[in-house]
Amino acid sequence: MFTRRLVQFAAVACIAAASVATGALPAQAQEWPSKSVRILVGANPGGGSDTLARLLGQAFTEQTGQPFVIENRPGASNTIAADVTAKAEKDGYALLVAASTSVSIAPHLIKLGYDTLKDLQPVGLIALVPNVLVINKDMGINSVAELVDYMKANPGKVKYGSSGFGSTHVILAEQFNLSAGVKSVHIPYKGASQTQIDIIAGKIQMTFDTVPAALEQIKAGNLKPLAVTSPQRLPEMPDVPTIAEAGYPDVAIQVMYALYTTGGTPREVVDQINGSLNKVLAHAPVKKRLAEFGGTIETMDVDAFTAFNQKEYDRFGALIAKAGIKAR
Amino acid sequence: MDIFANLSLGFQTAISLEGMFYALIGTLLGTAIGVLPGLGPVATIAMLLPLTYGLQPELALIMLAGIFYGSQYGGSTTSILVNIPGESASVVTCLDGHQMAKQGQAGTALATAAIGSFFAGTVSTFLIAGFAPVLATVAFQFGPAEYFSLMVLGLIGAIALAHGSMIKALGMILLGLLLGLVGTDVTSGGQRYTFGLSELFDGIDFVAVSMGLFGITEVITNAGASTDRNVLTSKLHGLFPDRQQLGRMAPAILRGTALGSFLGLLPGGGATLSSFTAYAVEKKISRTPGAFGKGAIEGVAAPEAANNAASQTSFIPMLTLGIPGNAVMALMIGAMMMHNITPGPEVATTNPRLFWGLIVSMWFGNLVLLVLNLPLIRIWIKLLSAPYRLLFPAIVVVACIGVYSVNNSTFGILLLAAFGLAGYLLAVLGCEPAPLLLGFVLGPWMEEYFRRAMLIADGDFTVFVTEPLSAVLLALAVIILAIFTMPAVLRKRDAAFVEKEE
Repeated sequence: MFTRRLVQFAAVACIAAASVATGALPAQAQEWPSKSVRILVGANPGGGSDTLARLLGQAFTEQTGQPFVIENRPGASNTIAADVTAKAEKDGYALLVAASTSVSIAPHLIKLGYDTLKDLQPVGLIALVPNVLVINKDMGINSVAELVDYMKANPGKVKYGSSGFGSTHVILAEQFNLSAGVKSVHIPYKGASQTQIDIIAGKIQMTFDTVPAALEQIKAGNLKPLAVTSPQRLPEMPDVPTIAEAGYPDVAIQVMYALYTTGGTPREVVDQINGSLNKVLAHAPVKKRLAEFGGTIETMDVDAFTAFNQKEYDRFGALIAKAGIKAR
Repeated sequence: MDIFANLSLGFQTAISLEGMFYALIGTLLGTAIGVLPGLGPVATIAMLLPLTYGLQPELALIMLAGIFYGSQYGGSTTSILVNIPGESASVVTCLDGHQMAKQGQAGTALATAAIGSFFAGTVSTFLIAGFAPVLATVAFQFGPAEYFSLMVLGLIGAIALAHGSMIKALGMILLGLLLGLVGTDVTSGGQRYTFGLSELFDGIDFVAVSMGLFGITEVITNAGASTDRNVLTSKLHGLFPDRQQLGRMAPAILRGTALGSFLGLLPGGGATLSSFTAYAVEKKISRTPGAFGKGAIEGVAAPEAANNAASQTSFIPMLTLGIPGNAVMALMIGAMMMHNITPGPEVATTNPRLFWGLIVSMWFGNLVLLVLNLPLIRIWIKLLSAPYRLLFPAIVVVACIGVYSVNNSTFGILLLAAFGLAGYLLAVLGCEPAPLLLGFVLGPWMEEYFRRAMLIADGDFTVFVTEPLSAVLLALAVIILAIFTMPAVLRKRDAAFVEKEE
């Protein structure tokens, strides 16, 4: 730990020295990276995006020979790290590993000190992680259709759990309410595990959980899966239909994990980072780890991902407006 | 299944040369880092996780478990020596532990913490080995209503934390509750008292509050008073508890272990509540409650035992259900997944070597802690004989590093300074910070569980008394409140008497 800090300090000192030394020269499109790179993470050590960032950081370091230092800046729906990235030097030495929550959802819900679309440059997609609609196993319900019938017969009786205001769970459940024309009541939790406990214990009835978080409880028969939000059925649960098959294609929303850098970074640099990222993602051990993480890797070039990012942003924006979700 | 056959399989795994080596390394690293306030087990484990990728899964988990215990124990060390609680569980250890240190009994306090932790660790390891699957179901018995009632009970117990006036203690609890409200409302997403500062969206950082109110305040107070430093070191008692002290700490450790073992089973706050509750219980049943807060050995022994028992039993929901009760357990699950082991109801049968190896290594980690720390105590105490002009700046620097490392943000340091000043003001006014901290921790939880219970019950208030478990907890709270308030007149006389003796 001490050494880690020391390395970080030393790295910062070197960057400072290097930027003084090269300050007089015009910004040249050098090989990226020529010095250490920060990877910002909006969550505390240990969470999904942190695990992902550390995995990538290690692979990047091995690939480029430059140190990639993880910097956790938790807070404000993971947007503090995005804020730091948005306001960093426009040189591609501050990267951000972010999920849908901070780049597609939060901008529509909280006032930010930066413009997500302008001040964050999309670099590339890392993975898409599907969600699964799970319910309490003792409800006697075996399909999405039966759940919808039950909810229509008992409006407001079904309570769904989420990881708090602005989490993907809320967006998915509210979209489900809209699409199916039903009503369920939002019960916010601080995390997926508490939600699971209360569903298993029968205090609440349903949630849209991420697949890796729910898989073990599904396997053990504690939670009943009704549908997955991925475009295809998952190999882990081949009998569970996709939500589109169940008749609600609008709810087929996956959580996106992606890499960003500071808006205004020269295009050549962004392309280089994208190239490095895609090379890292093709690396077998990284692939294997990511698969354990529950995601499917999808690589895109900068243009494709910029378009995808915009589409996700707009889709969540429209949905949040339609469902009337806002901070009070 | 035969528990002894299982344990022997575990011993074969953990007590191999490699197993012992990694337990030792983990505990050493954990202790070294735990001594830095603010760097709790979560950050430590997350950062050292990559080191364990290359190891066999059993060894990786053994090492991580060692880091976990080590960093927890490291937290008690700073609480006792320099009055800096690194995490919520060590706040109570400050109360009497640091007072003991001031009276020249730092060694005894540290030894008490180590022995208490070891005993609690041993008992709870056997609990896990024998009854984990049965105990795991406790988590399901506790819904939002039950948690709320448990928090009410804890908060009322908080009054016992103060040894001065009841009004002041209540005032401090309320102040703590108010501070705890700062941040984003989970249900509506509304901002409360954040003044548009995004650093406050997630609330005020606990580490900054506790280190400010305890550590920094201590520095300011001592720098202001021209206390004779020699008093601290001149009357150094023996390092180990004498027979009379052993007699006082043994039952306290037993009670703390029992309480902690139970509360640790509850995900979300059980472990923190355990050390507070253990302290309150000791003070309540003590024949000399006036001695608490002035260096009572029970006030160190019971919370330390409870704390350690709880952190041990918090493995139960993780190991048997695959449900992490706290952030450390979530990391442990992450570590297991890295090694292709998915924790859950089947892990004990599919990976017996890992399951039982981990359980035995828990106990072994505790043993290593004891062996490691008893000799270290002499070195720690030397720290106290360092002159103030060196010790104080060092405390301030360490506190700043600790608080910075929580969010990697300088905002935490500003908070630390603000709470240091506030703490000094409170000290001048004779108000104690411990009840404030408990209010600060429990307030937001209480609100969260209260609102969740109400939402689930569709706004029906009676849910708190119609759920049997919740009703029992609330009844206990009422009884305790009655015990505290009824003989108020008598107690006041007692307190006055004790104060005069000082």
